[in-house]
Amino acid sequence: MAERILDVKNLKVDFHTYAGEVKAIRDVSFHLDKGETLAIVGESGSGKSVTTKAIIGLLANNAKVVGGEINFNGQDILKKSEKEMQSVRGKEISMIFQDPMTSLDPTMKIGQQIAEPLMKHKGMNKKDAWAKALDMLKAVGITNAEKRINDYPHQFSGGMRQRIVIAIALVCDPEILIADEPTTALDVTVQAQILDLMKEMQAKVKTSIIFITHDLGVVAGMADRVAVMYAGELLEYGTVDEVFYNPQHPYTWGLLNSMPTLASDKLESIPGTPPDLLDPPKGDPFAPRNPYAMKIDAEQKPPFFKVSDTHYAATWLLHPDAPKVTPPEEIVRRQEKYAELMAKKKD
Amino acid sequence: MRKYLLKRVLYMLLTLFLVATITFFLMKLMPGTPYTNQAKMTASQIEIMNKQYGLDKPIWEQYLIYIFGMFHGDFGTSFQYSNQPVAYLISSRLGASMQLGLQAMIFGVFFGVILGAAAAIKHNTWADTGATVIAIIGKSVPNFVLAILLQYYIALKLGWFPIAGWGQFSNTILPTIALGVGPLAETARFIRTSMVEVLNSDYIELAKAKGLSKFEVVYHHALRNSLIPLVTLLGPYTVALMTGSMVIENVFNIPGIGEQFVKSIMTNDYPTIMGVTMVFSIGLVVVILITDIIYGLIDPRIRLEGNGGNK
Amino acid sequence: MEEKLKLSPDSFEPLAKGEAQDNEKIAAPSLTFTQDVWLRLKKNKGAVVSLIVILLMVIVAFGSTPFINKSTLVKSQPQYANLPAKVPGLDAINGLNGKIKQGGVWVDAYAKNDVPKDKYFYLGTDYLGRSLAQRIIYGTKVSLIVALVATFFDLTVGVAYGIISGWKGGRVDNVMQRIIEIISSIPNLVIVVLMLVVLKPGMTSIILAIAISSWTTMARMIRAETLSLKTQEYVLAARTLGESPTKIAWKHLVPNLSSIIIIQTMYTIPSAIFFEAFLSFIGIGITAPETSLGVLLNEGQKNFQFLPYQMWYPAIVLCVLMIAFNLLGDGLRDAFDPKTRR
Repeated sequence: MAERILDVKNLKVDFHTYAGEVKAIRDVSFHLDKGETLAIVGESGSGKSVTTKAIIGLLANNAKVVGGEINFNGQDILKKSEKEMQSVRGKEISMIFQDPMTSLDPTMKIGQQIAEPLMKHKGMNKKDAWAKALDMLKAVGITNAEKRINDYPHQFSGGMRQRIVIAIALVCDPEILIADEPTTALDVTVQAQILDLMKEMQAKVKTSIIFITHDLGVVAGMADRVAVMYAGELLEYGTVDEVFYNPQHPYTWGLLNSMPTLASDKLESIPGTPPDLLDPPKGDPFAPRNPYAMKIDAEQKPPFFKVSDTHYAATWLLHPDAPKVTPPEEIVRRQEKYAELMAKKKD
Repeated sequence: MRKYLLKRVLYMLLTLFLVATITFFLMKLMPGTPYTNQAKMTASQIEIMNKQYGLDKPIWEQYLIYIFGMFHGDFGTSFQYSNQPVAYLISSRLGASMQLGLQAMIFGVFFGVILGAAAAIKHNTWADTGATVIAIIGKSVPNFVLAILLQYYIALKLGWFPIAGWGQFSNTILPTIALGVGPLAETARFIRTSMVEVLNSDYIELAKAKGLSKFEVVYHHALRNSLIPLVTLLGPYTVALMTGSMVIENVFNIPGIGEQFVKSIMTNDYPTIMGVTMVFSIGLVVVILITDIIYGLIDPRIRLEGNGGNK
Repeated sequence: MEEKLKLSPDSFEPLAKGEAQDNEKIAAPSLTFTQDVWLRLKKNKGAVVSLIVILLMVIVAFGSTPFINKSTLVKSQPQYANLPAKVPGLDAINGLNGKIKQGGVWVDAYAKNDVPKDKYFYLGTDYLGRSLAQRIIYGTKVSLIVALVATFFDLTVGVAYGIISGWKGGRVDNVMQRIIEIISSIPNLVIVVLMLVVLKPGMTSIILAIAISSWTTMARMIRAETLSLKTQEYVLAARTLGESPTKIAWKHLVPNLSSIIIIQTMYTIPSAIFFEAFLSFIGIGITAPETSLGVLLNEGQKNFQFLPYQMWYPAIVLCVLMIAFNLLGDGLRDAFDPKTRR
């Protein structure tokens, strides 16, 4: 078994707002193995970003971890002091943000911005740090790096800036890289380049990646495992193949169904909106939008049912007593493909 | 860049020319004569006086004389102080006003930045509330009220500083405080707002994600980014200091141009009123130009535009 | 795990249509923008208190007009000159019981001047024996009127100028901006002083002078916002549909500019009040026999060493007025733009 580098257990996070306590993360558990890429997928507001902010210890001031633990290399990050966290951030766990246009300091040369973590964490002097920064800039594919290292962020395009952000994040060879929708704000062609770069860099620095996205299309090419998040909870997780071709939770069905495919000429959507987390539903949070909902969905939260060693889903449909339902056409097609795949594997 | 500067200077001169023209004709519309406040004079005396000041010439000629004179630094002769050229009157008093204004500006900006930054960093805590209260009071209490209170309680009652006068550094302390509190409050409010915004920005999040300490984040990233826009307040501060000088110099009996201005208004001394008006306008226009240049120098985003792009 | 779950026979029945399918219901009640602003403003204690203080001052200042007007103000009563405050029922508090400190001892000024026992001046009297309370109330009214007129100019000239400049763009905008640039490179104070020198000092000229110099900031802000609103899709749509510019201005621009207008107005008011007080204080604004807070401060300052109350009371009222408007302005800014206060 691969070495577990991060283990999140029963994480609970509340936000204090003037309307009341918003329960943004409600009992989330997952783990990350060394060298793998885990994608967390969900709609906006599902709590993916909050989860990662909790891991890196940068929750907003009005947010509070109210339960659970986050074990990083066997130590609970939540118990660390701010000072201790500073030596983790940027060195062992680093982060890339969504919008490269705003995530660089507009008044600082990019060379300095890349060199900063080196000077902080590796105790390098300015000259060495800048030399390493230059190497890094070349590694992320900035042409004419010797000259451009002295430029300011506004002199770069969005894609270039995201490359610089990646350089900053990876310059200290972190063990975990958290990428929070790193391609959402970019053009489609640039998106692919950035994803390729991330994979290439992952191979180089041997880092694990937590990849946050709402775009399932990006996940397929990028991730080893996928976790589906909804209304502050995980609903299903498994390997990419399992989640994509043998999904069990009706919400995952909805997500996959709303992906454009060559076969379908009509875009499906999931009707309705996520629940208000000020007063979260006590049963399955997806029940109000779920066409397959059963009485119990409204009353009790479903536990995780095991589908395979790596694949779990929290839906009452997997309970032995539950009636058999037929998922949407597209999902049936995918499950057939999966069965073929499994059969092939057995041979 | 040079072309831009040239254009700006031309606009500046045009503005000053308009100000001079407007001031001149307004003064001509003014009720009362320069002699209103003086002892009764006979008609022939007035005629002699008019001749001496050139008031017997047609208005357009007076105007041309005035405008051309100004290019040579000649603002005419004061009505009040017989035979004293206005230019001399002003230049002999400019030093005190400039020193006071500069001290007040430095005092206000320095402590304002500290107060505002502290409030932003300790956002929504008692420190923030305290700084906000100080800023609101500083903005709300008129500087002349503050000046009188300082003069009475600190100088007269406690005797820590001289009550009035000019010449020693100790003379400047109370007027500097009275004059500087306005800019201080304004700076504190401005820095707090702009720093709160900066602290909520993505690049600060990234700086924190790099593992920088709170101090490093503030010192290396937040402070510079929130200080840059402060430069735009230089102009309004100059105006506030000019306004303030009129009354602060009066209260503390400082021989500056603000005090002179008030005196000239009281005595219908038009040449001096016009002269001081021009000095104030020149001061403001120059400060606005300097503001733009500084802004271009310190903000890399603007520098590029000024150069027309050097990629 | 399974044992803990309470399963009933009908647990796996499909959920009734009504329960499951009301997925379009929005869980939290939605608020209109105005309601939301009001809600946030109400949370701000400083702003609410300020609002109440301002309303009280307005009511007292304008409601008292039948009792306190020019004729009562000029009536001097030399026998009551320079009396300190005397409030019924506060006999124990020195300074509010008719006593004043003279040479370190508290002396009953009322008894010394043979003032009838039932005569009370709540805030004392000035050097002509006129009630300070009455004069302060009148002065507050003057300050409020000045503020009102300055605001009116801001709202009409400033807003219209800004909208036209921003909307027309191009040449018109260029010329209009140059004009503003020129006006604002003359110090405000100089404009005001020149106006006052030319016109006769007094209420009308001071109001006019302040009004003329105060609208440029508003015009600038409105122009900038109009420029950005102009390119918004909904305005473009309205233009494409052929709505008249006037209609677009009223229907789309003004509502969206309202927050800037309200906030900027809240800053114009204290600066107008300050300017009036300032000019009257140095003696080139409102002059006796008219009165204003500035005039009162000027008079009080002369005797500050011996009769400090004559300056303290108007100073406190002026400061409270300024603080209240500034706090309310801040509260409104935060309420309209919650980003600044997270």
